[in-house]
Amino acid sequence: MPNPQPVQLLFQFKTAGNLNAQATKFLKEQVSAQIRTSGAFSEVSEAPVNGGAVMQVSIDNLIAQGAVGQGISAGLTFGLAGQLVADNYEAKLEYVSGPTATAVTTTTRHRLLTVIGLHADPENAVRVRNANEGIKMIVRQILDRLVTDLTRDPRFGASAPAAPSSDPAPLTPAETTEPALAPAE
Amino acid sequence: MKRLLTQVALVVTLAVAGCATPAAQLPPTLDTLQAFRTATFPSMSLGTFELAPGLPPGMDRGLMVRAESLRPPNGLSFAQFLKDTMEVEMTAAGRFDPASSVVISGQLTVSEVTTMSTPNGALGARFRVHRNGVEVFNKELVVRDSWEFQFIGAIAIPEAQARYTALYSKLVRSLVNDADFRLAVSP
Repeated sequence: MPNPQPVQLLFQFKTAGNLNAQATKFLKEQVSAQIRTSGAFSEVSEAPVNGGAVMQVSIDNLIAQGAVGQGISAGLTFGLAGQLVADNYEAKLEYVSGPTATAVTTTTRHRLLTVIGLHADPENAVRVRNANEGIKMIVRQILDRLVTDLTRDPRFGASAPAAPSSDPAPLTPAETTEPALAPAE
Repeated sequence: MKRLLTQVALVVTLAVAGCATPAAQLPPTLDTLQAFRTATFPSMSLGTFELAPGLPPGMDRGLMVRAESLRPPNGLSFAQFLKDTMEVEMTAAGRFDPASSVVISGQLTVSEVTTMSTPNGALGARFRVHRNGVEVFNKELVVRDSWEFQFIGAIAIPEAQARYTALYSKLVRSLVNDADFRLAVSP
């Protein structure tokens, strides 16, 4: 990035549209560190920065219809009625370069699949050890996509693309190419 | 029989006492931050936030959502939670200065939530602003929210708690966007 600028970062993790404070706290440092190392900004801070640029990242874990029933079904049969539960995530990045600037918005979606009981692994999924590792991978890939799309937007202050992070995510939508598979704990 | 009833009462008491959830601390939001920045706000400080006179003290310390009690995140009071939320938003917007002569104070006037029939919540406060000790603003603001009914408590209770908690950010944003408030605090 030829002339990266500082940015104030706001982050929220939501569940079904409502703030999830515990998940926000769990992921906040990961989000901050990843944006810091993306190369898109000279500084990432929770406090106001010179120039007044602000970026808000929100990730919303949507609750699929019937998810509760799937869990009950698997539980009552002690796992014999295996289930594949999908956690869908919608993410949005909003960036304003200054107090009166128009917001630049990028969005993406992702999916975390969880096998409960006896059920075959889904195709094209990357297996992870547990749900925590799964969500961290999902968030890492979401951020790579959001920040890359932002830096490619001509309205973004500096036009050159960001330097890739140390562990880049695929740039195609992850929900169709590389959903995570987290086995039930 | 009396001993059995005592034991049942003890179990019920312990069960209810165990169902106290602290409300979530709220992070700053882009909407409020931008609302602060698009107007000519000075840096401001925060004064006393307390329950409005005449209201039951318990209203400031907890809120029942079905059988579960929602507590303020700081363990003190919902009025203090409102003050904390204001400080978070003002700090993120660069408008908080504890030494400022423009002081915002507040009295909690409305704090309610229900999960029955048409689930809804409301939060209100009377805000006052003093500039160099002179009152320049005095107004009650109330914000509301409503959502779809859920029968299952495991879904309905967290939903209601989250919706009620989000009203604190909404009330702060309502104040920042209030035309009379903007006029009163403008330098």
